[in-house]
Amino acid sequence: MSAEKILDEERLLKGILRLNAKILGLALGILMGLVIFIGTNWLLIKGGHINQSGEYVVGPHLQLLGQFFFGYKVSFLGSIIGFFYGLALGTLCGTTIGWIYNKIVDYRTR
Amino acid sequence: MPRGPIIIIGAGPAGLTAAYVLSKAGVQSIVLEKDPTVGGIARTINYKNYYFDIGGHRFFTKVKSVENIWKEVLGEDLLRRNRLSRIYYNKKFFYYPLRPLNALLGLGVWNSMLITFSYFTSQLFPSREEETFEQWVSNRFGKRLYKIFFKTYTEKVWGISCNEISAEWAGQRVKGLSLMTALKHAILKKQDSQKDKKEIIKTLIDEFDYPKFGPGMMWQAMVEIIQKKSSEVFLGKPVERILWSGNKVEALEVRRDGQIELLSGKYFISSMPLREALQKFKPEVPKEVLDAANDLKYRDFLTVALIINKPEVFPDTWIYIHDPEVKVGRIQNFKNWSPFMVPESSKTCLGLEYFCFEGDNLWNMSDDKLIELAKRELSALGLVNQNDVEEGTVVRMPKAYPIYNSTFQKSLDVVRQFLNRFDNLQLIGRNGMHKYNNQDHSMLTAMLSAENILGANHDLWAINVEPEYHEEMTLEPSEEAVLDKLLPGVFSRMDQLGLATAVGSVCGLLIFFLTIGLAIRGGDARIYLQLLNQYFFGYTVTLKGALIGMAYSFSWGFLFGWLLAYLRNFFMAYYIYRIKRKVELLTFRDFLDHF
Repeated sequence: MSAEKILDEERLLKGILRLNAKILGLALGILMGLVIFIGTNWLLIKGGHINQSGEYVVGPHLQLLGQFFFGYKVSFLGSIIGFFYGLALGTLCGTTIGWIYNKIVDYRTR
Repeated sequence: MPRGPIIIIGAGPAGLTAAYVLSKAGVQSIVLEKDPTVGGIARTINYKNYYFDIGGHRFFTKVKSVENIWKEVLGEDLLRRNRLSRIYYNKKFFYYPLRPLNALLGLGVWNSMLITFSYFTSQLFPSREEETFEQWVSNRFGKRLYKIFFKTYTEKVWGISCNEISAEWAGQRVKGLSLMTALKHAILKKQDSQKDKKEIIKTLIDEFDYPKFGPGMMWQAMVEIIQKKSSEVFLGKPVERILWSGNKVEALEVRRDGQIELLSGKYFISSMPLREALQKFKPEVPKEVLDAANDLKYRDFLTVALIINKPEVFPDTWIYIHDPEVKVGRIQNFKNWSPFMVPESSKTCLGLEYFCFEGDNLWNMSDDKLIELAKRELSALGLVNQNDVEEGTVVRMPKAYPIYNSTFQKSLDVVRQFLNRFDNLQLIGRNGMHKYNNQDHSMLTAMLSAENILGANHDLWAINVEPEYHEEMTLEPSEEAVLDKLLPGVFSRMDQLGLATAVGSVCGLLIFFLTIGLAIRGGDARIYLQLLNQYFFGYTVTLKGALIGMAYSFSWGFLFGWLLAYLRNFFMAYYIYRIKRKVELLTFRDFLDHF
């Protein structure tokens, strides 16, 4: 095996994975956005129930997300708004995870 | 353009290819061959118009430039032939490469079950030491399969017990395969459709090109082309001494008609067996170099060609004889290599190949006795009735295979280190480099040596370093560079502490801000968030609770992140192990074809 190949193999075996924070953020963002979008629409398709006050209620618990995601409701429009909120929060979380991870790896491999 | 004559030692595939490439570039050369015929071990013998090959040389390569030369030189005379080769064991035939159903039927259900059991035993309880060939193969295939398909034939080829053959030799071909290469192929292979893949493998295994009248036809045609371009090929002209001083080879002492002749040159290319070459250096090389050269060993080989008075004997191009009862190692059916190899369609010509050492009993046996032995063994194997054998002839081929014993690498390194000083000498070919090059790789070393003389800077020792396997695919250098850069980033280990801390921190902050937000603003969601205290004891939707919640979620996030990284590393390591193992086995698939 040539010296270059051995070096490549060493890089592979001894190297520490670095994360692409932006990509991780985007992936987590899309995932979270989709979870909210699908979760909301699933409740809409399933239908709601009439509560004690005689109101037709769909997904009362998910509705609570509206307290953090202003404008979010359990409706189709709400699912789109929720998607973007999820996307933003997921991206923020993923990017932060990637950033912190890379900083720790940098520190530990210094 | 180089000035002064270029002298090439040896008119085998390597030597002639070097001369051919140089002549195409308009550079003249002188080729010196000690034998009266060209082709080296890839020569073709003409016995009463029966042509036969020394060992059977398939024209089969993945090196495009070599393939192009074959086509340029022979054109239409290069036939596309189907391959059929089988293993003869226990009076039964097994396709080689092995086909599961055929092997199962041939070995019988009970034996197959024992083989399966032995395989799983070897996987579960492998031999901890892997020092011998036996241990190496048994650990991968099971002891039973090793005994049936590897032991006897390998012992015939090398003349020593498999317990004495180092595992290093067995792993030589797979050892050179880097993990990076294995991963690259594993990733890229998935891009090809299964159908295409099967087609490629089938073509590579089941077909090969072959000159109408055997490989000698190729080398003879090459000689004619070289000579037309004013280069010279001298046969029966052995090199007696290689004269050197400082970092240059100055001249050769060549024997011609009993006289010693001095031949000066500017550049020298040698395909002479390395041991022999070092012994011919004048002044003598340092003692440690000579000792190292003398440590390089060769396995020799003889063919008994028999003319059979039958139009057909068996359908194979060659058969591996694993039966320990007979000495013959392999039987070639030259008529199946090319129908033009036999002058009369009512007859067949078989070549019985015996592996031996120069000077041992077999080597020294008279031709008549060897022919008798071959006839007896053919009959004992039940392939041909002795009465159907018309006549035969014997060809002895010394130094057919360089031996990879436990000390060869060290000795070769010493020799190479000494030879590195010469800036006008290049070594090429199988014996020239003491390297298990097949015909195509021998030719490639020659082509590159010629290009070096024309100004390139190739490392000839880098050729055939990586073993090949049939599923291998060609990568563009640009693709290779991208993969080299990307793969370590994908398959490297993930830092468990790093991911644990990162996930823990984000989870902690998320709970902290959610709690603070609700604690300040209030709202229905408080009741639900408060439920977290069923897991996070002491948690409330307050400022204090936010800190407690942050600590809890950091801990859980930390644990989750650590576990995620651990599992990812575990499965990635397992994936890499499987790929490496699979490629090892694929590389081993055509193991017998390389003798």
